[in-house]
This record gives sequence, C-alpha cells and structure tokens, in this order.
Amino acid sequence: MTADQLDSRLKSIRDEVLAAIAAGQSTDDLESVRVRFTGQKSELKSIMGELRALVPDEKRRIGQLANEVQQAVENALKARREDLHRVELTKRLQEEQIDVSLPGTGRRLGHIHPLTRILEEIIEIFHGMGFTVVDGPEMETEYYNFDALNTPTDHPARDEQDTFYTNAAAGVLLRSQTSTMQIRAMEKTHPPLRIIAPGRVYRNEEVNARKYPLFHQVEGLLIDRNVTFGQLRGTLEEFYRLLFGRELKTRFRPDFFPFTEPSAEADCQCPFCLGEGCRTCGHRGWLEMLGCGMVDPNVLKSVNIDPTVWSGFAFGMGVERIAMLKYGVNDIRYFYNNDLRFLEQF
Amino acid sequence: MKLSYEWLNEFVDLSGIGVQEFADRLSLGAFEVEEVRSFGPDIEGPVVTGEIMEIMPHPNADKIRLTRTRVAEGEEPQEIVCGATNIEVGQRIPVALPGARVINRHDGTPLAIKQSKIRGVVSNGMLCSAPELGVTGSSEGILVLGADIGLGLDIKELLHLKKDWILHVSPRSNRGDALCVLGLAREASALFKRPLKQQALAGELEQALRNFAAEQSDVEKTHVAVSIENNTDCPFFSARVIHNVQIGPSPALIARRLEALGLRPVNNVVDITNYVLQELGQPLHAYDLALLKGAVLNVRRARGGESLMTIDGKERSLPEEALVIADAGGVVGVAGVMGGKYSEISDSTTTLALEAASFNSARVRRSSRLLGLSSDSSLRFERGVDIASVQVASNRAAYLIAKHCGGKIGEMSTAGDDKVPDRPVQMRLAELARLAEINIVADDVGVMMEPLGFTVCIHADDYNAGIVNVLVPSFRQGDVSREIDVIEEICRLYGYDRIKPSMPERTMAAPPRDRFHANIRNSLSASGLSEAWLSSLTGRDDLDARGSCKVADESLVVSVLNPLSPDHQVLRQRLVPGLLKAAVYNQDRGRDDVSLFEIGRAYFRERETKAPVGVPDEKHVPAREEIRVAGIMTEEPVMSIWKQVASNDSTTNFFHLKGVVENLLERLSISLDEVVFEQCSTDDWYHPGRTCALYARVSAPSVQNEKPSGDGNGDHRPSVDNKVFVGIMGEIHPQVCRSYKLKGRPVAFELNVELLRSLSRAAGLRETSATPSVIRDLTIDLATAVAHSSVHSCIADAADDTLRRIDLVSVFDLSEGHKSLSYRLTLQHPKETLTAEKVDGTLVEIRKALSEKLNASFRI
Repeated sequence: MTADQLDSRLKSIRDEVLAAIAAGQSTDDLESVRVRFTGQKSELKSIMGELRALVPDEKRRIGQLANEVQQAVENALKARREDLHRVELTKRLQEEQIDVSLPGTGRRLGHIHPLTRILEEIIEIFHGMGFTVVDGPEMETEYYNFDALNTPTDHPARDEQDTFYTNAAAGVLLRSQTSTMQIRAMEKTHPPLRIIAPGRVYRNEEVNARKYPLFHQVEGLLIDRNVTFGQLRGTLEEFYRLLFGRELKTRFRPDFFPFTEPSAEADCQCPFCLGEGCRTCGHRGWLEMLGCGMVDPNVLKSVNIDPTVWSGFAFGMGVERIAMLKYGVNDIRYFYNNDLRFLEQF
Repeated sequence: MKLSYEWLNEFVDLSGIGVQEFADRLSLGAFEVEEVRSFGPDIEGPVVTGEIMEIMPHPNADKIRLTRTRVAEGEEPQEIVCGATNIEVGQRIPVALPGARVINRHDGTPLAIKQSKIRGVVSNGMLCSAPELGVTGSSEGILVLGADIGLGLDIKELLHLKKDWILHVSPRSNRGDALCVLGLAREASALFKRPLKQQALAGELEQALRNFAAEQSDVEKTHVAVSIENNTDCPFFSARVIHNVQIGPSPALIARRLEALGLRPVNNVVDITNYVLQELGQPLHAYDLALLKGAVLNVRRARGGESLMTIDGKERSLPEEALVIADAGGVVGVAGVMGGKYSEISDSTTTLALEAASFNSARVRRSSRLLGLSSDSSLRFERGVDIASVQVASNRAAYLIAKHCGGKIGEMSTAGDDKVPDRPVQMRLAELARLAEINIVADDVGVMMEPLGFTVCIHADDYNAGIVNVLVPSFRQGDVSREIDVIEEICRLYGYDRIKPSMPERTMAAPPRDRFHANIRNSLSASGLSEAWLSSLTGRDDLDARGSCKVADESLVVSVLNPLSPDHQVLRQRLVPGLLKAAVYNQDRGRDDVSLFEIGRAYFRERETKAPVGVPDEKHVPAREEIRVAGIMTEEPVMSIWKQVASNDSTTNFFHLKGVVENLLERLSISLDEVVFEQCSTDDWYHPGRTCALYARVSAPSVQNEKPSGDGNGDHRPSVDNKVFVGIMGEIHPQVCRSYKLKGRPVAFELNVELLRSLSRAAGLRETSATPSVIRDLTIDLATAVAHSSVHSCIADAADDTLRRIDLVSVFDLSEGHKSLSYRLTLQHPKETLTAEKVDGTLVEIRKALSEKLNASFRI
C-alpha cells in the first residue's frame, strides 16, 4: 500500500477502534477489542510491518501517525476501562448492600459488680490522699476484733454487734468490723502511716432489705504527729466532695465507739437535694455516711505506739450503704442475688 | 427511749425553745432524736365536769335518752341528748359544751360541738366517753368521774390532757445514765444553759419523807430481811415496806404520762414504779409482802431445775447463769429483768415490799439473753444504772405511793454498799488543744461541765500549768474515767460543728495500687462473664452439693457456732456452689445464657491448732483463707445468635471456657508454657471425662515455642512431681446439676489467685527475627486415646530450635478408635534463611519421633 493509502487506512482503523472501545460494555469486550486491533495479528501490527517499504520521509510521517493511533487507542482503552470498572464496581456495591440494622455478633461484655465499682471509687480517692490499701483475714481472734480495740470483756458493744463465733478455736470469730485492720496495720508499720482496708465483715443478723449477715466496710487509719479532729473532718469533707463530685457540707454528731475518742458520725449534706430534703435522705437534708473518731490512746498503747507523741484518726464506712445511696438501690439483697437484670445495669 | 417534752420541762425550763430546735440540738449533742411526734388530745373549748340531774326518755327515739345536766352548782340544768347506757342520775361526767371540739370516737377526726336538734329535741352539748377526750378507756359509755369532783372544772386540767411532744431518743450505748427524764434534763441544761430544777424536787421529796416517817409510830415495824450471795452480781440491794396501800387507778398525771410514752397503766403502785423508772432511770419492783414467804429477799444465781412464772404469764425455766430474787419459798423474780406472777401487786394487796437495787449489767444482759426476755428494766440495767440513785429512786417511789395510794412508809433494809466516791480526773488544756484545736481557759471547763453533774476544781498551782481537775459523779463513772473522756465531753459541749476542717499536714505518696484483681475482672468481663458477689456463709448442703458429692474432710470445715439460719452456718470451701445457685436464680427468671464470675475467699480449718512459736495464742487463727477466682458459663456469651452456626456438639462450652481461662492467664502475664492442663476425674463436682486440673510448673519452665537458640537446655521440663495445683475447670457433673436444678451443660472453673499471682511475669522485650519463616502442615493418624498434649510435646521435643509455633488446625474422628490431627508448624531460624533441605530434615525427625513414641502414621 502507498503512503497515502496507509495514512487513510490508519485513520480509519483509529476511528473504527475508538468506536469499538466506546461501544464496549464490559472489560471483557475491551479486551477483545484490544486483541483484535492492537494484538500481534492485528492490522495495525501488519501496517507497522509495511512501513519498512516506504521512503524515509514517508516512513517517518506514517510511523508517527501509526504511533499516534496506537497511543490514542491505548488511552481510549484505559479511559474506557476505568469507566467500566467504576460502573461495574458501583453495580457490585449496590448488589452487596446489607441490612446494617441487624445486631452485631461479637462476644457480649460482662459487667462489673456495683460493689466493686463503688469500692474502686472509694479506694481511688483515698489512694490519691496517700492512703495505702491493705487486706487482712476475715476469720479473726477476739484480740483483734475487740481486746486490742479497747472493748472490755463485758462491754455491751460485744453483744450489740452479735458476732459469729467459729469452731476453728475458742474465741476465733468472723470479724464484725474492719477495724481489726487498724491493729494489724499498726503492728506492721510504725507511724507515720495511712492505710485503708476494704473488706468483708459479718454480723449475726436476720436478712431483710437493710441487713445481710455479711457486708463490706472500708476502714481508714491515719497516724502521725499533730493529727487533729479538724483534720479528720477535712479529710472526710474532701472524700465526700470527690465521691459525689461537688462541694458538700459535713456534719459531725457525737457517737460512741470503744476504739475512738472523741467519736462522731460524719454526716454529709445530701448531694441529691443539697440539704433541701428528699427521699434519699429521708427528708433530713443529711446522709449518715460513716463513723469516725480520734484513735483512743488505749488502742495506740496496745500496739506500743506512744500516744503522747503520736495521734491519729480512724473511720469506717459501709460499702453497701454508700452504693445504695449512690446508685439508688433500696434493698441490700440485690447485691447478693446476682440477678443479671440488676448486674447488667452497671 | 421515749421522752415527754412536757415532763422534761418539769426538770428544766425550756420555755421559748421549740421542740424541733431542741431535738436538733440534742441530736448534735450525742442523743439522736429519731422521731418527734405530737401527743395529746385535739380537744379545745369548753369541756368541763358536769352532773347528771335527771334522765328522761327521748320523745322520738328508743335508743337515745334525754338528760338534764348541770355544769355549775345552783345552775339550771341543760337538756343534753345521750345515747350511752351507763349513765345514771348523780354521776359526774365530762360535758362538751357548744363551741368545744372533741374527737369523733369512730374515726378520730375532730368533732365540733354545737347546739343542735337531735330527732327534734335540742341538745345543748355532749356527754363524753374516754376516746372522745383522747384518753384510754372503754368506748362503751360515758367516762364516769369521781363523785367528789367539783363542777365546771376544765377537763383538760383535771385529766391532765395537755398537748405534748414525744421524742424518740436513742442514747449511745455507753450512756445508760441518760435513759430517763432526769438524765436528758441534765443534757438539756448543759446544752441550753438553763438551770436544772432537780434540787428543788429533791428538797420537796425529803420533806415529805420526813413527814411520813413522823406519822409512822403506830405502824408495825416489819421489815424484809435482804441478803446478797455475790456482790459482783449485785453490789447493792434494798427493800422498803409500805403499809396500808390501797390499790386503784393511778392519778391522772401519772397515768397520762405513762400513756404518752406508750405504756399501759396497770394500777397505782405498778404505775408509780414505772413512772420513777422513766423519771430517774432506776428500775423498781413492788412485791405483795403478804405473798412473800418468810419476808426475806435473797439475791442469788438460779439453781438447777428452778422455774418461775413471770408477770407476763409465761412459765420460764431458769438457767443457772441467771440472777434471781428469792424468798424463803423460792424464786420470785429474775433480777433486773422481770418479777414473778405469784407475788405481783393485785387489787387485794395492802402491804408491799418495794425493791430497788443495783445489778451487774453483764449479768442482767446474760439473764435477758438466756431467757429471751427483755424489759424496760433490763434495757436500763444492761446499759448501767447509777448505784447512787438506788435509794433516791426508792424514796421517790415511796413518797409517791404514800401520796397517791394512801400508804404508810415503813422500814427500808439494805445489803451491800451504794457509796461511790467522786472520781477525780486530770485534764490538760494543752492536750485538748493538741487533739481538738480547742483553745479555752480553765474556767470555761466548769461552765460547760457542771450542769452535767461534774465538779470542776482548779487548784492555784495547776491554773498556770493549764491543768483542770474534774470530779466525775457516780452516774458518769461508767463512761468518764480518763483525760480523753473529759476531752470528748468538752468537744461535745463546745460543739462538733465548731471544729474547723483542715487537711493533714504531711503529704504522703501511697505506693502504686495492686491491679492484679482488676486485671482478672477486666479479662473475664471482656470474655462476657459478669461479676457476682456471693455469700461466703452458706448452708451445710453446699459442702456436698446437696448430697451429690462427698465432703473431702469434715475436719477442715469452718462452721459458725451461733448461726441464725441454716443457710448461713458454714464458711464455703468452694466458690462454684454459689455460682451454681446464682445461675439457677437467673435461669428461673428466664435467662438461659448465664455467665458469671467471682473473686472471693474459701475457708479452711488448720489441723494444727497450736500457735507457731513467737505468735501469742490470742493472735493466732488456726484457719486459712484462700483467695480464688471462679466462673460459670451455661452458654457462650454472644451478643446475638442469628449468625451462630447451629451445633449439636456438647463440648462447645468446655472449649469456649478453656479459651476464656487461657485468655485470663495471658492477661495476667502468665505464659501458657508455665501451666499444664491435665485430665482430671477425681473431683466429684465435675464431669469425670470433661474436666482438667490446672498445674503450675514449679521450676524454670522449658520454652517450647520460643526456645532460645543454642542454649540446649530446652528439655529440662519439670517432672510430674514438680507441679502445684492451681485449680480446676470442666463441665459440672450432671448429678450436681440435677441437685441444684440447673439446666443445660454448664462449665465452670475455680483457680487460686495467689498462685496465679506467683506465676505472673513482668513483660520484657524479646527480639523479633527478620528472617523469613516457613510453614509446613502435618497430618497425623493416631489412636483416639492419645492426647493432643502428648503429640504437642512430642513434636516440640523432636524438633530443633527452629520450630517456632505448633498450631492445631483440625481434629477428625476416624473409624475404629482412631483420629486424625492436623498441625501447622512454623519454623524460623533467628539469623539464617532456612533451606528446604533443613526444614525437611526437621520434619523427618518429628515424624520419626511421633511414630516411635506415639505409634502415629502419616498421610502425604
């Protein structure tokens, strides 16, 4: 073929191929177009072979045209392939739509018991004030539960607490208060010391909405030089502020515990009504939170700490009671029934 | 105790102080006021005494009559209609005149009296029954007053129907002295700085006693012989004879005040003993002297086989620990608790013996507990009664009996000693300042404490040294004996509310918190188990799974000697029973997928009860507490089951829970190579074929999957003896499930937390290798009985140090007692690229070992 014939042939191939590409409806169509027009056996390839017969000027002109055609075809193929891919992907994505409202199928999470949660809060607050957490036995001797805590043998407190005694040995009982840990901590560590001791205690009581034969307390003890009653009040005020997340007033009412003197009930302004009176506080405006006092000199003497040099304060709170207040639980038995409908709310 | 505000005001003038203000201040002063209740009639206006002059039939009605009643001498009687049947001409009765307001006896609402027509006849008022005036008594019929009562008297004055407030006060357990009107009057006096009127009353009392004694000359000088067997049980005892007593109803004031406190009036003598108890806090008891054998009263312990019918009508056998009062014939009363029925005051009593005594508080408490009987009297003795007030109260009661019951006061006999010297206590103002930051001068102490009965002396020498001497009166010697007790008293009177909050001076950093338990909780809750808190006190039936299991060793069981209920009588030895019950509780409420865990304690007695050398007996507990973590799962805890592949494989739960336990160990930084799961069929709470025991290797464990290259000692695995039992996991025995009525095939585990803690290793970086790893699959045919763990260790032992991981890919059961296990082995050399020849060589070794040791065959 002459140069001019080749020229027109190339142009018509170009038009033909571009039309075929534009008409292609799938990547497969495009592949067959590519093979047909640009493959080894295609007319374009054979035209390339015929270039050798042309004079150099024409060879250059036609060769350039052939390259342009080839380039145009490849560009068109690429563009069309992209288009088709986009269309096909869109179609696939549409087909793959799912009902996203169906529930997830992962592993269910378990829940942490509310008493653990409240204990964590209490401990964290006191830990922040430099109190070290200590743990001790629930089976105790009368020495730790009463004698060392300045409770005389015939004192009504021993009866009032209605303690469980055990068969382990004479006088071995289930501790009725975490105050036992005051003695154990002071036996182990010389002042200055700050400890809190969370733990289980037992009292011989009938089960009802307010009472359970076992419950939990957090005991706190601080021994140092120049410790005052006012520092006890300040420490507890800080505790209430952090526990309830707001400034609250405290109120000390005189009370009696054998192992502290002076002793007090440390009430806190009701955080729910701010003292106005509501159901939680029994319309009193105050919540009875815990018992506390200055460590009795006899207790310090029982662990060989000189009460003329050291003084200290101690406090003990009921964990269930605080959890009931904070979470609005009105029956202590909920904590021990382990009803998942209850636990899963925490 | 209940306190009448009106009565209190007789001892201390609190006029101008509202009852609520008083209650609030008292609460802040150590006496919590739990409740303030109004008491007293809502009667107002003219309700006066009248006399029935005439009774006529009602012209228009059968059931009601017409009276003519006058309310003043010489006055024209008024027509008043009355429906009661007990009226008679000449009776003196209460009359509510128009304008008065009384109480509707049917519903307690106010009833206004006005002139009104009743069935056509004008009635000018109403004759009143007891409930219409708010006093106790029969509602059948009009309240008939004494014939000698004047006309036109205000019924409120006559019957002492004053408005009152009743306060429910709970004094602290060491303040027995305040369980009476006088005791609280002292407190009120100190708190409100109002003088106590007790002195005036005492003077009046003494004068009256002198007068009665003067008249006594003609009365027989009988007396009761009194004796005390043991002065510790009873330091002081007195009995006074009172003659010519006329038993009858109490005077209105006494009856009314007792009613206000919720006490039922009985008769004048009994009421007076109760009255004095409330007033002075001293329990008293009156015997009918004619019914006492031998006119003797002896205080002693009960003897074997003795019994007594107490005043409440119950026959009680008396334990030998009980303290009793006995006459020549036997027991007539339980000391300080309750008198006997036989010798009690009755309408025919004329001479009585009035007992006033001081009994040991612990002894009374013991008697009361053993008999299961408590009373107003025992309540006070238990808290301590002032020995110095015994005779004062006896005198007071005698005075009242003589005044109101026509009695003549006779001889008083006593045994023991009631003299108590004031006890001096020194208090340093500097100590007060050190502990409470209260800075006051010595004179302030007197101002604060003397209203409470303390005497404060300041010696000239001591004044400058800041030392105050306080004399403690007898009734406060129970709770005030040391300087700190005086300091507390001052703090209380100064006002706790005036103590300024501050923070401790020193700042102290606490060591980081132990997170081990928190890590356990986090891991298990992330695995879908919710946390339970279970009772550590359980029933005996939880030791043996309600009869399904054996109790391994009864002598290790810690039990409670004084259980309140069979459900709380032993300390648990396992956590799993409580979890089973919690699971049943939830299943019964429609939850089938129960997954729970607990961190708690198990309790064991020690066989050796003797304290170790160096530990005093008083500090030794021959028992041990073990912290455990246990879990139960009845179904896999999934969020939703719609994508679950239905499976009939009953082992799903087991392997799921095993995964949970393995995750837990990993979370606790315990390498799975440090523990062994071994088949265990010896625990009868668990399925014998689907349970494993978890052991910890004791010595430094060999590392199977991550053998350090080149050290060559990877095979020093501890022998079977060198392992410690950490816990168990498995399927709950079907028999146990049946006993607890637990549905499904629950699986559970229970591990020793402290042992887990000892296995936990701090994390440290291991270098990662950059060389490529090679993966080879290996399928092995074996006898079914060969455990995966044997195959695993056989492979690990046979391989050289290039074997990094052994992953089980599949398990197939083949026929005739054979199974096929497929493993994926990952091999890697720390420095070089492994050649195919080297890997093949390793696999040849492995195959060889498997076929030699486990009789395995292979498919290519």
